[in-house]
Amino acid sequence: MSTHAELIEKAKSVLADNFGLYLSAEYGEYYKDKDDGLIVSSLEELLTEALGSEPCNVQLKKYKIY
Amino acid sequence: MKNKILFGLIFLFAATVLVYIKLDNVFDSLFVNFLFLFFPLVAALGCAYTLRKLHVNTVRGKVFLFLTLGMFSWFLAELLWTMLVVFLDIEPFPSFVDIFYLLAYPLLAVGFVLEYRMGKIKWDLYRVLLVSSISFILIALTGYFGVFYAYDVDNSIWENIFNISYGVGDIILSILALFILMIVMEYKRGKFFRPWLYVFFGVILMIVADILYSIYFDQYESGVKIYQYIDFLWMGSYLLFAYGFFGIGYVINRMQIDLKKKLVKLSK
Repeated sequence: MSTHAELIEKAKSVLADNFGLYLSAEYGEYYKDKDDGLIVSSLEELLTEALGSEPCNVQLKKYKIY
Repeated sequence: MKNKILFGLIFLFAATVLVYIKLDNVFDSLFVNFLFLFFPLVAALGCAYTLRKLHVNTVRGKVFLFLTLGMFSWFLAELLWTMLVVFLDIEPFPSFVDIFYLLAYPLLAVGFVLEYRMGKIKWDLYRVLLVSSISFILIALTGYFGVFYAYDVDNSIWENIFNISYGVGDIILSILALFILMIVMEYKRGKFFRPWLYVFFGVILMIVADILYSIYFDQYESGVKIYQYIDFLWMGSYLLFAYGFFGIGYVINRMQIDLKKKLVKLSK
């Protein structure tokens, strides 16, 4: 699996576990043609909005996105 | 929509308070007995709404699966209690109804622990002191009034077992309240902060109601009016649960709506 594909799968995992399967699937499709930097900043935005910045960092480290 | 639900819950609570004040003995009122059931029902529905947004095969979905089961267990217990008292004129304590009341405690416990484990709490000195002092007070109060005070040598063995089990359940709930407080403190800059704060206060209110019920059990059961107002604390607790659990689902729902708008915009 390529790094970009791996990143999308990790992104889908963190979104699924935090916000459910619908958001995970839809964002997974949205991220397909986006660069890695945008995917990470999108995840940071979503997680920070819901959880706050520190829990966001915890989640991204936990799912090995950072 | 969120404001409509909040106003609806406040209206329901206010209407119930007025009915309680107007009636001489609320336990004789069929209407009040069934009105009370709305409160645990909306709490359970709040959980179910968020579970539907998350899906059970996700980590937070599992949190809400257990919370939904716990809340429905309390609703079922309240419903069965009401049916036995109102229609069959049976004193439901102790009975199979207590199993549903008690089952909620471990179910909610699993849900709260799973949510706690999703994050990583930073244990600094301030948090250790805060958690220690609150836990000491909560465990001391619930331990004394829920376990020690609940034991009565004149009761049957089953009455004592169930009474003490409720006390143990409240001790568990006290400890969980602290887990929730830790979660709340972690989420303080996010949209999940306020909903979990409502859930925390819901747990505290539930414990206060249980302690007061334990202290004033005879007066409450005798129908002394002012002691019937302990019901307001349980109702308030369920409403806080409802608004908190619904609030988490609302945040996720808003994210879904915002995503749809974003995708529609991009496709143009």
